[in-house]
Amino acid sequence: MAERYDRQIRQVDVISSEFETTFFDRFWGEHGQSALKNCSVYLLEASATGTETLKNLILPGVGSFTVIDDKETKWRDLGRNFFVDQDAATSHLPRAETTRQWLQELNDEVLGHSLNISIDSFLEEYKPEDGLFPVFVCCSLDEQILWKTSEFCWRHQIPFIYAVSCGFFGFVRIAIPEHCVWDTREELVSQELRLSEPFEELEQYCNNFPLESMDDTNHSLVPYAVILVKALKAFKDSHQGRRPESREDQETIRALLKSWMRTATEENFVEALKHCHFIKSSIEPNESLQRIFNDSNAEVESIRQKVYSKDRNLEFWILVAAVKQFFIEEHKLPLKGSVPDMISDTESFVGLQRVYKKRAEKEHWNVYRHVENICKQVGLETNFLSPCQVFEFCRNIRSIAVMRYYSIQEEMTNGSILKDALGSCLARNEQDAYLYVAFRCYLKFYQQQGRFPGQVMDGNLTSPLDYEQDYLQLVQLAEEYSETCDIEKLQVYLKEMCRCGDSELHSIAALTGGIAAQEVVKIITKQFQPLRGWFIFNGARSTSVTIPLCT
Amino acid sequence: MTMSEEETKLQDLKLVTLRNGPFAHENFSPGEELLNFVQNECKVLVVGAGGLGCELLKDLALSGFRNIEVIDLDVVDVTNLNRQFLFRQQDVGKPKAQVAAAFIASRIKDIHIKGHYANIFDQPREFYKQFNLVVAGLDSIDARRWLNETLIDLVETDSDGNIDVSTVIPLIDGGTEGFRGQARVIIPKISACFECNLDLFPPQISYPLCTIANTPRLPEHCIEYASVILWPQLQPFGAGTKVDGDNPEHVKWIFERAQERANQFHIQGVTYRLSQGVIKHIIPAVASTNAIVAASCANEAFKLATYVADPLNNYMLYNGESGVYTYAFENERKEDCPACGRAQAKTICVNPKWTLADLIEVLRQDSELRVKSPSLTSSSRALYYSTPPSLEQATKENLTQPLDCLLEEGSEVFLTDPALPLGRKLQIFFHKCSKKNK
Repeated sequence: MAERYDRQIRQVDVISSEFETTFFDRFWGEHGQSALKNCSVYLLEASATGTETLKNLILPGVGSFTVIDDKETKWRDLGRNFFVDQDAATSHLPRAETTRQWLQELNDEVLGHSLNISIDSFLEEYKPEDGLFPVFVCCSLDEQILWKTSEFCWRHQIPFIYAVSCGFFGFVRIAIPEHCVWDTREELVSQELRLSEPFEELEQYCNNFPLESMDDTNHSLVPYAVILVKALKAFKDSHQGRRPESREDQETIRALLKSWMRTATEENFVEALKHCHFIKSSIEPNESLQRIFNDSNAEVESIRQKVYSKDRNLEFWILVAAVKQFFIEEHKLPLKGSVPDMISDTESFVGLQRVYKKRAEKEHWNVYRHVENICKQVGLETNFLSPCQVFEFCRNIRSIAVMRYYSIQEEMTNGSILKDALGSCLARNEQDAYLYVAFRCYLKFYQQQGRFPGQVMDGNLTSPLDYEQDYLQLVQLAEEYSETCDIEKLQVYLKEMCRCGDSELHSIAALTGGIAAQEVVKIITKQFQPLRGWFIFNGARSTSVTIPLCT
Repeated sequence: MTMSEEETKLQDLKLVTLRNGPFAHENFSPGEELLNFVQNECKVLVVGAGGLGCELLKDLALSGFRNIEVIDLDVVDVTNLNRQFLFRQQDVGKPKAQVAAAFIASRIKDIHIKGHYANIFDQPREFYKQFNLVVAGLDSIDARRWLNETLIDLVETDSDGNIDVSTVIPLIDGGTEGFRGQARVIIPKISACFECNLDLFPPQISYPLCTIANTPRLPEHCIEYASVILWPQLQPFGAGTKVDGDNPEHVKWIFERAQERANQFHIQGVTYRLSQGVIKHIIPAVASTNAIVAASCANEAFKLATYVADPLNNYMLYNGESGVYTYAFENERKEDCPACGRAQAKTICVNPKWTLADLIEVLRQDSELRVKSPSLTSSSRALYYSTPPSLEQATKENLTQPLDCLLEEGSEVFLTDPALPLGRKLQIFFHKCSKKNK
């Protein structure tokens, strides 16, 4: 049945237009697929947003899911939620089991459970399943439940995703103390080839290409990497061994390359000119990687602690510490070991691939030895990590990331965090940031009155069509934020929230659930960069904003 | 008026259509008739019952639309099951449009939904004319261009050139690839159409033939060698049989030949999966992106039908690779757009000594036209018909004629092609040094 997942695992090479670099678009790969298989998703409250989220996780094949909900299926659910049926509404069946049943049907390889209990009792009873990696998706509009579940997840190192929609607005928030991304999918070909400091084997390989004496055909098939190594050498020879640094130096090299061209359109040289800046590119880690290297988590003492506390990012930090050790000794990052496509004859290209691959393997084994050492020091088996894992990590070292979110508790109690985050959005004129404040007022209104502003009670649609009273109360609640944002500009958002009352429009729920599911996939597979805080979709305007709550 | 319990099913939709709000469109007038229109009068056509189509049907049905038709020419494949959630294992091999329609009808009781197992190109104008809205979830550029032009063609104008708005059928178009996607709203003849910004969709990438033939470096080059060069030479499944990416025997043959070539050149990485991907130009597809883009299209459909809020004007980009990012902007209408603008003849420079076949080849290579099998007529005569076979036979002999025997300098030629319902006017100029694109 693996065929079912073909389109999402599939590794497709996309050679984009000449203006963009060639890239490997491996979707989430076999790796990511098995991570999904080992994951268990808990849905807290079977709203439409919630079941849509689950749908998008069951289809691609998570290991198991559990619906936690203590309400019964209502006719109102039929108008917004696809995973309920009329019989369940007529017979008042539990919503947890009804939605579980219709979701289960999407993929019989996934194990589905339902719990007809309150979220409170669920949190009291929760026991992690053996060998499965848990993720909580909370869809409750009750602020207390948001507070409680997020706090619970934070304490147990369980990734927490909050996803709700009201009216035309959708909200998603991620909160995890520390999320480590093993492969952001950002490629830095300029650094991966290490052309600014060619290694010995590469220089030797380049000696096989005597540019001057080659015939025209062969000359036009020398890979640009080789050409650039030669250009660098020629530059150094004529500048007392100095490396090119300034803009002028680069111009000198460009002129040199042009002088080597046999015709003005020799394609491999055109490529060399285009990639000329590779000669100058830094082999040092970039700022974000530097910060990861300097993180106290990469210290042996801290890793020892992690072994003791069974930290979910233990492996990541061992590997970071090992690569850092390699960097201290070698003053460079391990090679990636692959070569992007370039104009060349087959033999030269395959030869170049071999040179890179061989050198990379050598360096990756060096990193592996550091891994063994670190494991020994912290009391782990030396084979705690396999060479394969180490090599994979080395290949992606330029695209790792560490994200530390603010907890919901910090966000709700520390005014300055919020003020900064909102301020940065409003400074960029991202008006939808007001929706965040409007939403907080909306939650608070419910907390105080047990109903939502603009909500129609008991299906009575005549009198309460005027929501002015609720609106005025909501404006009062917003006073609290007068320091954070311009209350006058906030008013339209407050008004629109009242207009929608407690409605959950299916399209908005489906969109919000799509985004929540995508973020869960990123978190589980540890690939791609997840959302950095709140994502808010404004379906009335078809715009959105991200409020960053992450360092 | 208090709703019965059953009526609360529509409560969410009623709230937003009965109440005014600051985000409503300036022409919004709240009232019962809005939802009544959505439910009982508005006819929606969903084009494509694939990843986007399945989502669209569900989203539209739960947005109150009750008169929906869906058209798709495909049958369910096992690789659809990871995202096309209206299909099950036992549906493999059945027509998508019909399975999808039946599923929606079984879950949502009061809906009128019809599935057409058919090719959109084969439907007459009258078919499209009956709808108030068309929502497309297609992966083919050709089909989108065709649909776009068909809807433009349906717009009627009076003698002063004023548009009869009752003949305007908005087109909402979605597309996805991996974690990226887009949704757009096209109001034919009023806002930018698909053809106005055709350049947003670069022509399909193919590898240079000389690389494939002489200097392969990547596993893809070996696969292309097997399918583009070896296949037509060896005709392994009988003369004239085209490569079918869904036929495992075909894929296996190409995979094995590609592997032989890869071994010969010491290239690594040829796999069956990659072979199929290259042959079919498969792009990654995941459930979440389809859900996001389709939901956004359905939301726009609801806004267009009710004016509860401003519809998207007119393009939204989505990217979920790094964080979550959307960007809405207005694509400008092209005044001289060959589909929706003032049609001006496209200038084509040719060498008068070229044959008509040469001209057709130049047209096929044209990055603006992107036609596959054009037919040409001049004001006085038929020059060449690519179909039907009888007319092809009758006009074939012109193909070898030099152009200056068939046409005058500066004469107008009308091009028709299956991909372009409106056709294109061309003006042919003679230049001795005209070159053909490679």
